[in-house]
Amino acid sequence: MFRSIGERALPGVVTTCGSTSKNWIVEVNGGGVLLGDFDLDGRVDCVIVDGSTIERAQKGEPGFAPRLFLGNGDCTFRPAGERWNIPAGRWGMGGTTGDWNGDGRLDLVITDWGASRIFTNDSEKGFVEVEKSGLARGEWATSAAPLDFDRDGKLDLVVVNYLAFDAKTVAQKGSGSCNWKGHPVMCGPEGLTPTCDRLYRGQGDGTFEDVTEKARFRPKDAGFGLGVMTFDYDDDGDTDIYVANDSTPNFLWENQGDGTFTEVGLRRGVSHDANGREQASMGIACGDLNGDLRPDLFVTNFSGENSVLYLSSKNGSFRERSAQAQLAGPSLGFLKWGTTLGDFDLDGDLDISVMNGHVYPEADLAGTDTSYAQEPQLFVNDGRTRFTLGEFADVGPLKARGCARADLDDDGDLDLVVVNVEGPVMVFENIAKRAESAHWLRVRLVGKDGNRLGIGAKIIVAWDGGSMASEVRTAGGFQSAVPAEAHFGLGGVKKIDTLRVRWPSGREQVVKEVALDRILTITESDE
Amino acid sequence: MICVVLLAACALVPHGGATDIAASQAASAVQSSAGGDSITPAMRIDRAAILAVDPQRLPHASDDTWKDFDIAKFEDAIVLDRIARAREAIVRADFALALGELHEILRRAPDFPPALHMSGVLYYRLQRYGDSAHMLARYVEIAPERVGETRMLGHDLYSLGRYDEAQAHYERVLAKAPHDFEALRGLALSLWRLGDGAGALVKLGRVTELAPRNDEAWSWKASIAFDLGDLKIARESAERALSFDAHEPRTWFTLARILEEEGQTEAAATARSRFEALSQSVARVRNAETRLLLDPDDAQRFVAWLDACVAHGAPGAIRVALQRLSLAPRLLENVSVSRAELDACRALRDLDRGAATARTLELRASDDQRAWRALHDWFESIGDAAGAARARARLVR
Repeated sequence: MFRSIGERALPGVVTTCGSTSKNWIVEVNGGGVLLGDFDLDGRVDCVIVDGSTIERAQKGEPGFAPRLFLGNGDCTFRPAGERWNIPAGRWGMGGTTGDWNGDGRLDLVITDWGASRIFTNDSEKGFVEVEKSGLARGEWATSAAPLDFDRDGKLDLVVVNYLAFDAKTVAQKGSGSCNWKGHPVMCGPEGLTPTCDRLYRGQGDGTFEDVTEKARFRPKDAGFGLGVMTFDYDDDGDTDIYVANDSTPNFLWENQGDGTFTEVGLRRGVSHDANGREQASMGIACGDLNGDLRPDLFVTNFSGENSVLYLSSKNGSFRERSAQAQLAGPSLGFLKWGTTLGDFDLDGDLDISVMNGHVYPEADLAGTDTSYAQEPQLFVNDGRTRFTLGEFADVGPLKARGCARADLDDDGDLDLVVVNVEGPVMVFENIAKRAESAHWLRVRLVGKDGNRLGIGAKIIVAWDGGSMASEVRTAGGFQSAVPAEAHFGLGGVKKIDTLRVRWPSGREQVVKEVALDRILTITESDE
Repeated sequence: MICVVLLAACALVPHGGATDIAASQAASAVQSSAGGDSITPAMRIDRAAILAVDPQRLPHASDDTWKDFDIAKFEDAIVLDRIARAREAIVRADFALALGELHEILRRAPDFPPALHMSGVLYYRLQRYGDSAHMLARYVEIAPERVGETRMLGHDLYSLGRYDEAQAHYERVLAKAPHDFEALRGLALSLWRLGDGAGALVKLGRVTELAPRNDEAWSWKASIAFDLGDLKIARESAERALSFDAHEPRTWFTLARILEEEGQTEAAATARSRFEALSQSVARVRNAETRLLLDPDDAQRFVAWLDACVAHGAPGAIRVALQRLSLAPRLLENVSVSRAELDACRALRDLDRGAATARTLELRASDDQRAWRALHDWFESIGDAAGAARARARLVR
């Protein structure tokens, strides 16, 4: 399905995440990938978020800086130049993108073990850090996502936190405190203290107000947050939030429409697997797999736990359908991270990509039933939400972490950028054999208010005999971000009769007779 | 420190080399442990070395070596002695040392059937399913008529996500033993994992006919019926499962989902609360048990495990912990262990063992406030007012 572009794509770009022996939990997450058009040239660019080492952190030295690479429109990138420099934090994890100040340019959040930072995109100066952004300091933030939860036209922000970590107090590998399958390994997350996630209300200028308490975005027990997804699970027009937690139940935060949230994960059947087991969840992908025009969830987990597919049902609850979809067995032995849902072969249904790689180098020792480096996986949908393991790429095992998908070469299909711990950042060009009759459509939105990218909008395309829905978001599931656009693989559909947009403002807009195989930009109308 | 050095070596040398180093360390660990019964810190470290051995690299015998094997006619005294030591270690739940003995046997007498069998079972208990499957597959090759080992091999394959192979093994068992309800249950779950929920439900129906008090089968039946949308069967099955075991979180989880689907929101919320509480206590038991693996004679870790079992409340788990304690006399010398034992006896209403434990603890408690609290609660629970007063007096003081 994919071809690695190799060195040509991102020449010499590797990331650092601690030592190769992985003595501490902070050394295992790897970095993230943030995709979007930062220089407004119509091509997808890429920010790679880099980490650090324990030695640097202990000396108080900054980590390695996140870097922007500008897209050439052919799955390759070039360094963006000094103007776009992003200063290093303590230890970068990932982040997200959005237009925080409503100027039509794509801004950034970089998450960090230390302090997450906001950057606005200035046409002259490049990225400019917002000094008093209002974001909390001293927390280990992993993933983040923009949303307009109160529908005031200004983008808000959810930041997911992992745990309280201090190398001086956490037991080190080999201390005898922590073992896995009989092998001494680095300690955590079990035994460490999880940190609550945070919800911020956007002021429309790149600064945010912490409304975590006010919005009741506080669970009974904090989780070890790793992944986040924004979506409208109950189809009531406002944006809800799903959080993937490591070794603790996952959260589904239902937006009450009055500025507050209620945690309904267990009630809706998405906190545990079908047997009530909490899992060590990492990444999230979201899309409509069962054709009911509501979003479904795909969640990646630790080795020994299968990836979980939650399909939506009419009453707002979800049912775990991993076994029926044939996703359970093939995922069990892998430690799964970044994941994406996309119609990679443009046959009209969503496929799944999963990046794998273990946290313990000890996974290569006896009796673990897994390995440290692992092959990425591609699950190809047969059109009835049953998947077969497809050939991902001729690339061998990786220690992959964050990943994001986008059409990097404007040929209509989805390509991938993947962070590989202790190896080069990889770009995979989609070379899937597509039927001659296969069509596609990419839809970008221009909102009227400050939410210029239309994040949270729902788009439904309908044709004679069928329909398909997608939401516009930049949330990439695990420490990553995707371009704010909806991608439809349409298979043999020849003509779209109507394209309906439900904007975050509540306005509805219909476009008729939509031509295919192109990027369609829709501007929010006054009506 | 040996452990750290050993693992560093494992990370630096090719896989085969690492295994060889670990193997020789493990061998010396077993040798050194065989002579005495005192556990030293060095021996604690050696358990890690034993667990680092890759059993799939142990030598194999030629195909017909054990063709007509009969343990009664087997005469290698060294092997038999090691088998006895391995059994003894298993009884003490010292799985690592047991495996060390078994590895030595398999080096001396490759594919010796009892050692294959025992190590297969031990690796299964350690959740090292690939190693367990390897051992049991070798065993079943030698003794294809053995139903129990074939069934356990099915469990291994199921746990590895190889559901179609698991299905084949369960079917093989059922061809020989049609009433083997454990194999039938395994077959049902394999079918479910392969996407055949309806087929799974039929098989589970047969399990509950054969073993009407099998709470696990009822619980799975509830899960799968819910999955298929049959709320009536799901609810009846969940209630049956809970009537046999009210401490299984999975059943409460399923019941909560059923009640939610039925629109009984309050009852669903109650079931969810019960599920959450049990789920957390099960996690505590599991974590505490894992910590005992490398140091089964550590009193503090044992107390944490026993306390977690008592907090969870499932009588079966408490009994298992107490049985294990009975086989570890050194642990019984510890006041905290006796305190935890007394709490466990109170939870089980085990009057005989509790009385004996209380007598010992009262003599040794000194100023240990938790011990006196446990004694007070014990005496109160059995209506011994004088004992309770004595304990209360020590508490006050």
